[in-house]
Amino acid sequence: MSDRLLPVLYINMAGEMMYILEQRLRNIDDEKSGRVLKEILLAVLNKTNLEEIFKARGLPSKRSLKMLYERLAHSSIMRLNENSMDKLFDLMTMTTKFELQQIVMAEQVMTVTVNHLQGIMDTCPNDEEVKQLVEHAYTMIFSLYRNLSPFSWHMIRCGLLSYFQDAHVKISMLLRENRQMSSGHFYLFPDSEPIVLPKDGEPVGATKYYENGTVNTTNEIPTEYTYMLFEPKPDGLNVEQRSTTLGANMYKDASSLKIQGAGGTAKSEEEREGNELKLLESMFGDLAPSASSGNRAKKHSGELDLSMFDDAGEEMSYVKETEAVLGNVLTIDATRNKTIDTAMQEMKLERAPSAKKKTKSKGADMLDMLDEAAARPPTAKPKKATAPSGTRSRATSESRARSASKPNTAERAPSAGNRRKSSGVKKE
Amino acid sequence: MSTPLAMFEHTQDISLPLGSASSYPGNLAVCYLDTRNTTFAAVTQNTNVHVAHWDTRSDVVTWESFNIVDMATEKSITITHVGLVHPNARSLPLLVVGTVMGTQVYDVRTHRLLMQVNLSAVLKVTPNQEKTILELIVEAFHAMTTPYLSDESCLGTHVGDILILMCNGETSISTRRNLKEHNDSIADIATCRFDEITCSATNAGEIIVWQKPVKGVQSRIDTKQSLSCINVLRKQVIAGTMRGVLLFYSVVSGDLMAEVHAHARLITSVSVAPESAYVMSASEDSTFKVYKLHTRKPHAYQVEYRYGKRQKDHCIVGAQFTNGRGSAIAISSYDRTTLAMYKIIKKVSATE
Repeated sequence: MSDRLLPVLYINMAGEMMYILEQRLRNIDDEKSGRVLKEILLAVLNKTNLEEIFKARGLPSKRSLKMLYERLAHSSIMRLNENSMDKLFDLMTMTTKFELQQIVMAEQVMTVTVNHLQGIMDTCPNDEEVKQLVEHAYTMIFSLYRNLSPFSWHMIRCGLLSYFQDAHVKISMLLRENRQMSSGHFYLFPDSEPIVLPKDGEPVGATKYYENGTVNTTNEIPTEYTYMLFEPKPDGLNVEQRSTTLGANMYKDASSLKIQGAGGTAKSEEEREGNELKLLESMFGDLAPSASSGNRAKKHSGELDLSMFDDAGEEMSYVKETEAVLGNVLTIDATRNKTIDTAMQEMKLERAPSAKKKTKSKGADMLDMLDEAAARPPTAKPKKATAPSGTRSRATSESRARSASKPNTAERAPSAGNRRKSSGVKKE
Repeated sequence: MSTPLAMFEHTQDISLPLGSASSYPGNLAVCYLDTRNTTFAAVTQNTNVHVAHWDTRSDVVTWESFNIVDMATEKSITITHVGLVHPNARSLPLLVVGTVMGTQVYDVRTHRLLMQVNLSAVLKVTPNQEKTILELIVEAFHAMTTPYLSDESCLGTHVGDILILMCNGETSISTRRNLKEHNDSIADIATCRFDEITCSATNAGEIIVWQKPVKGVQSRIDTKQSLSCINVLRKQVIAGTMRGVLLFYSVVSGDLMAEVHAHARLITSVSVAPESAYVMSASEDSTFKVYKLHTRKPHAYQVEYRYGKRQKDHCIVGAQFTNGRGSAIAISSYDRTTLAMYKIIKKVSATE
């Protein structure tokens, strides 16, 4: 079943990425932002890329997935620095998780996916090339998933939810709309709204007794909610209405994309071993920092720096809070066949040894590339500064104290270390 | 319609030693040893299983964690199901873990891995069927049963095969030939220890009542519903559906006796307490409900609603009685770091 996890995950998160980028690009002139969105969209739905995604087995680590979307986002002239990319990934992760938790039944993963495809198409309206690619993606999704039973959908949903487990970044918009709690969990069944029953579901409360195949008596049991019947609607493209609006652009009227507190969903995960880069390689070819990509830290003329933050202060506090949370997490092995000594050693390891180890591993290239991203200058507007977008000098925003020279993996930022999220045990 | 009776009360939340409970069905398993006043509970969390045990006369809970690693590649594997089985041949239960690769059996006390079965090895597939293996490997082992009296343990797989593990002594486990009577993914398998009835159900709605010992088919029931979980009590198979309905079938006649429209989301667990004939259903709709099943004359056949509770905004994945009397309950929810514990506060008369 894991064969079928990545395609839906990829399309849904890509949809969220397009919505977020569209929101951030709103203040930039139409022609430039339209070009950026289209270039990214062409890369996201590129037929070869999609084929690789559909062929891939299992789910990549969140770090690799973030890198995949980073590559896609950078297929245009737009550039994001590491903090912005982290925040973008946090937003994509949380909104996708939100949608997966809110659906009435697992089959609606399909509806949410089609909503995303429709939303992607709407970011570049009236474009024949885009329309064809979206329709092609829809056909691929439809032919892979159409025959699944409710139970198979349920297993897909479980697999995706398990991927998003323990991601609790707080999205200001969802908090404000009473969709998310201060703990980072979502409100699943708000008191003010009736619960939509699943397809073919009958209102909760009736107990029917059968005798010889027919209902003999009926009783009622107390219920917790008010209920609403499900209205089946087709999951087609360009239809007026689908059975849920989850997956549609929820930032349409949003003025800001703030996160409260820490983020860093891609970094909190334990690094997985294995041939993580295979998928990326097959999609983008050689991953070694080439002459063109290796110098991305240096700004080329015509590149468009985009920031996910409203100002440098917001970027600063995001970095600080995230590092504070990630820095507090210790690696605790769950097996008990570890002596206290080895556990103590692990606690002392911190970042440097894991970074050293990685320079020899298959992940070295990937981490180098992440560092390149880190070396890119912060792109948030400095507070009160009114520099026009795209022409701001690097000196105005030094929130991320980093040199733009070729990074050294041994000096990797603390957040890039190998850690496993652990609850309860914090470093003093 | 009567108001919910205050039958249970929330006593405490027990924190998992690490992370939160997983999203796969069957993330909570319970095994109680009445003779020792001890209850074991296993919760899955990503690639770890956390096993708690406590003395039923005190509230002190001890946790032990198992990191599930594939022995061949030494990689952590995603867990899709957990079971605690207590064969006669052993003094303490075995921890049986279903993963995307196969199954592993551990001794709960020594943490020793007693057996690892790779799905690709036990489900015979020819080389050109390689893709099928990869598909089924991941969805395998949704289900397992906890037969207390026999020394067998059954595990259901994605393709419908049921694997049988035999426990021949404290540390000796072997496999028997797979049962190949189902053609769809196994949703759940359950055994009633009093009546010695074992039933298995597929997600496509077929229930098989097995002969004892589990070898041949005694009878088949076609429910025509997408099933998610089952249990057996008082010669009734109680099945939960993907649409939130609880179905009661007679094992003897195969007839549908009652259906309760209990939940607005998929039913994730059906638990039974054999001594008191309590049934509990739990669902992703954040609620769990307790009923008393009346099957014995002169009382009319009845599924009497006793208690309902909403764990606000929790996606409940596991719900189990933690003893045979059904006086204590443990609830686990996706993405939550605690087990919610409930205890009975008063006996409610059946006529209320």
